[in-house]
Order: sequence, then structure tokens, then C-alpha cells
Amino acid sequence: MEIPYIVNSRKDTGLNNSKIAIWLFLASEVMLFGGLFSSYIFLRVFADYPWPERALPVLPGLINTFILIASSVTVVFAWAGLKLRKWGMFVGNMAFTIVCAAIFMVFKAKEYSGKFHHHGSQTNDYGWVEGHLKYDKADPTHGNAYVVVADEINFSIDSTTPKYLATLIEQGGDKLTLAAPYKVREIIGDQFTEKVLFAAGTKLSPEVISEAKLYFIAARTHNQELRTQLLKDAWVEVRDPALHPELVGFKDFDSKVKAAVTDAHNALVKKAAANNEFLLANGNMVFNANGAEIKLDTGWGRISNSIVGAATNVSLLDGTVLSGITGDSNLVYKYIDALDFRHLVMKAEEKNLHADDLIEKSPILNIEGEGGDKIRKIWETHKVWRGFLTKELLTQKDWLTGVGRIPTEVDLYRVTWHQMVAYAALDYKITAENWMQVKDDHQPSMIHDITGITDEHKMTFPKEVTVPRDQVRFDSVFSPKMNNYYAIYFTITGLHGLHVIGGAIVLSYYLFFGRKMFLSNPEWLANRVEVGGLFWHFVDLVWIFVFPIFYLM
Amino acid sequence: MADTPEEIRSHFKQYSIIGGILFIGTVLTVAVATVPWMDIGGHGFDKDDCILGLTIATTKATLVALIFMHLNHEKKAIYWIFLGALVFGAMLIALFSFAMSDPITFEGLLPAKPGQ
Repeated sequence: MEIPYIVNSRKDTGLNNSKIAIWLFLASEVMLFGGLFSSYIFLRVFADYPWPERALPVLPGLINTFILIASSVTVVFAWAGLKLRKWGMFVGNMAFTIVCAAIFMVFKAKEYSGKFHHHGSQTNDYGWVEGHLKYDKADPTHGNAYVVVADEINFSIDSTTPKYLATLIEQGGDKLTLAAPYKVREIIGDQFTEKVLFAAGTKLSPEVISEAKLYFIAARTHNQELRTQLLKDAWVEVRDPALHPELVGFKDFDSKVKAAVTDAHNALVKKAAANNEFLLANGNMVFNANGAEIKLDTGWGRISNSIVGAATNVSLLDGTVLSGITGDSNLVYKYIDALDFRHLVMKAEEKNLHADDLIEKSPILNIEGEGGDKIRKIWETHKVWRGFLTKELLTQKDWLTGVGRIPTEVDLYRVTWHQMVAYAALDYKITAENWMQVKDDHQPSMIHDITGITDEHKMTFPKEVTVPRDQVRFDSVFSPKMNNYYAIYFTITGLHGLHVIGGAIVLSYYLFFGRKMFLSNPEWLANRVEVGGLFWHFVDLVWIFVFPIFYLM
Repeated sequence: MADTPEEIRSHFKQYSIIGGILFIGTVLTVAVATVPWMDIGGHGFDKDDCILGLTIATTKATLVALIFMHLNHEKKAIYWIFLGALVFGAMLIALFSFAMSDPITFEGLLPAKPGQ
């Protein structure tokens, strides 16, 4: 089918149809992103936790902004090249645009990767430590595990996940044995035969679970079909005037009829059960664990009591429940690269409590070992530094508005990795002479936001830090799960990234497959590139807002 | 919209200048957010920084729309479509404002004041 007016303009609108179409699409996009930005404002204004201001590395975001602006300019020149019938000009500018899109996505992928490998833990008093967990190839939980000395494991056999099962078998081995015989009932011919499918003491294996699951599903299906049939029978019985003359004239949906059907159905079910017509449908298999020590990824479920030595249950996402005693489930950080007490302060202020006293009592400042000592040293140094900062700011006034200045909550209660490096460089001795160097001379430059933290920097961080599990209120990598900020950040930037990829694919198509059209109908190709270019400008336009809102505010 | 080769050529300089202004605007946005002496209002991020940052961003976005997307000399149909999108976009933000003034929706959601 030939689409009309894709090269020449319609007389009524003065535009070709492609252009009308892309503008209608862009209109829907304006509303889509408008809605998302509205959500952002909503989440930020009513956040009940300190909003992570300027939590993203600025330099990669800035470079990405430059990249998109440059590509916006070159895509216009690519279109102009076609209008001037200069193929070389089109190719050069379009190729540059696509390379820009690729570089943009590389920076974005690096930024996302950084977030997914960075970990944060909130203690019960709302303090935060951030850093990287102890990486151990042999231990996939990387120092963040629930350890249970298990007495019993209860499987929900129709939903058991092979991955979880394999982990349990690997760690529990021969200790995991069936607690009670697993019985089934089969129908052979017209006869119902009951048998022990697995005897008590049977070792746990995927095959045991699989076979039991087959019987369970067959039994459940049979039982459901039987119940349905009995319900049909109940209706036939109830609507029989000879058996229920009192219900003649009543409609099916009358409560009197419904009650009679329920009664009849219950009676039929009872009779069938008495005749052993139902199959055994036991969806749970309980295994003795005999004190097997099981280590589980914390993302797999929840622990009911995390105090070491306490009786506990770990409920996995697939319905498996381990019962036993909590083992050494503490969080082990390879190094800590930020401390944050802002949420603690917010909570303290809500209750009119003295925040600094609470910080001193925080589990974070009472962590044992060398790592804990380093944390205390850093925090003490930070308190001295912020004292000088406060003093200095009180002497300042804004040059434009004349507003007096005070330190922000971030200044007061958050210690970044940049500051950790600076404090170490000053040997943790902050004086009236050197305190300003913390923000200037001794901080790593923004370039490290791209190159990453060096080993030299890591030397200054608290290392091998063990955070007691029972003091951990919440922990997560910096994924959407972390908080609403990261949820909306990943939603908007992820959607924007998909637009970049989509736009780059379309523009690449014009570049690599447009030559033939250029030779036969260059104006048509120019129109196509104009439409693709409009989309690309929109992608740039969205980023113009994303950058300051997420990276600078 | 520019259609003849002469008209298109005459816009080359304009495109480059707008690109340059966008670069400068971006640098300015980062500077006011990160360079202490350019920080307006109170110390650190606050309302004034927000207004300034969004003003620069809106100016940049307007330039992109007007010059690169040719909205400075488009046909009526495009303006109507664009206007429609802007109105609905603004309504989405306005919905948030309506919700803010709704005591039922927001009672208990507002951050607690000290002492409460």
C-alpha cells in the first residue's frame, strides 16, 4: 500500500504526513515524560527520608550532556546535507551522531554497573554505611548471607526453585532426610491404591521433589475435577422438583437455591471422601536437616530473627522454609566508602531528641575491629572539619540575595569517600590552617568518577568491616529496591536510554541503507532523516532536564 | 521552514551558535551547582539553585525546540499538536498540585514536624 503525502506536502496542512505523525508521537512522549517528572516531584517533596541530593557522578553526566548536544547539532547538519544533495556531508554527520549515541550508552552502562555493585546498609537507628561487600569467588553471597543451623526444611513442592534446591542439597548433603513417609494414592483401574512413595529417611534430591510433585499435581487435578463434577451433581439434585419441591419457582441466583446447592455439594464431597475417592494431595515435604549449616543469599528470602544463636525461620521466595538457629549471618564489607547519619538525624528531630548523642551510640560507630576503629577516627575527624566549616559559613552571606549561610545536612552528617581520602591525606588532623584543603587540595578530582576509585584511595577506607546482622534494618545494592529516588532514577534514565538506542537504530538504518533512496528520491530520504532527527532532538531535550534534576539537584 | 539550498546554508551558522550556547548553558548549570562562589542563595542546594538550574534547562530546551526542531517557523498544525501536548503535560503537573491541597490525601503523609 502506498502511503500518500510522504514526500510532498498536503495542501490543507502544508505538511507531509510523516511529519504530522512524528509530532503526534512526540506529543505523546511529552506527556509520558511529563508524567514521570511529575512523579519525581511528588516522590521528592513527600519523601520521608533524606533525598539523595547530587548522589550521581557529575562528570559522566556532564560528558553525556555534551555528547547529546553535539549529536543534536550534527543530526541537523546531516539533514542539511541531504537537502543540499551532499551525500558525504550526510554520512559524516550521521556517523558522528551514531558514535555519540554509542558513547552515551557506554557511560550510562558504566554508571548503572557502579550502582548495581555498590551496597548500602541501614542500621536499626537509621544510620547508613555504604561500600562494597567482601568479594569471594568461592562464596556467591559475597559476605552478605543468612546462615542457619537448620533443624528442618519444609518444601512447597509445586513451587520449589531448582536453584535454591541445588544450593540446599550442596550444603546440606546427607544430613537432609525425609522426616515422615510421603504417601500417595493411585487409581489403578477402578481401584484406589495407597502406597508410600518415599520412606522416612530418604535423602533429599531433585528427583525426589520432582516425582512427588508429579503425584501432587495429578492428585490436585483429580481432586479439582471431582469437586467440579460433584458441584454439577449438586445442581442437578437441587433443581430436581421431585427432590426439592420447595425450590420450584426460585431462580438459580436466589440465596435459598445457592444455600441448598452448597449443602448438597458438601454432602457429596463428604460421601466421596468417605469412599476414598479423593487422592492424597500433600504439597509439602518436610526434611530433617540434622544441624546442617546452610548459607543463603539474602535476596532469596527473609529471616525472622537475625540475632546469632536465636531460633529462627528463613522463608525463601519459592515457599521453602528453613527452621533452626541463626548462624554467623553478619554483613561483611570489603571496604566502606561513605557514612551517612542524615536519616538518623531526621528521625531524632521528629522526636525532639539530640541527634549527636544518638549518632555516638549508633551501631555504626560501635563496630568492632580495625575497620570500626577507622570509622570512628573518620567520624571524629569529620566533626572537627564540619566545626570549621560551620564557623566559616556563618561569616558569609550570599552575594546575590544577602541570605546568611549554614552548612547543609550533607555537610554535617554525611562523609563521602572523597572526604575519607582527604582526611587521610591530612593524617586525620584538621586545623584552622588546613581544614579548607579538605574541599580543595586533598580531594580526588571529578575524573575519578570515570576512572573509578584507585587502590591508593581504598587504602584510606575502613576495611573488613563486619556489620552485625541483627543491627541491620535494611540493606540493598543501589538498585530500584534501594528507595524511591533510585526507582524513579532508573525508570526515567532507563526509558531515556531506550529512546537513545531506538533513535540510534533508526538513524543507523538511514545511514547504512539510505544510499539507494538518496540516488532515486533524495527528498524522501531528507524527509525521513528530518523525522528521525526530530525524535533525536526530543531525546536531547529530555536529557536537558534529566541532567540537572538527577545529577545536580 | 528552510527549503532552498540558500536558505539551508544561511542557517549553518545559527545551528553552530545554538550548539555553542547549549554547551555554555550546560557548563553554567554545573558551575552554579559545584563552584562555591557561584552558589546562589543559601549554602548548598536550595530553592534558588533549583530555580536557576531549571531556568537554564528550560532556556536550553526552548532553543532546541525552536531552532533544531524548527518550531520557530512551523505550520499551524504542528503548533496545535505541540500546544496540546504542553497543556496535557502541564495538567499532569497540576494534578500533583491539586493533590497537595487535598487534606484527605495528604493528611499523615506530610513529613512530621519536630515535636510531633
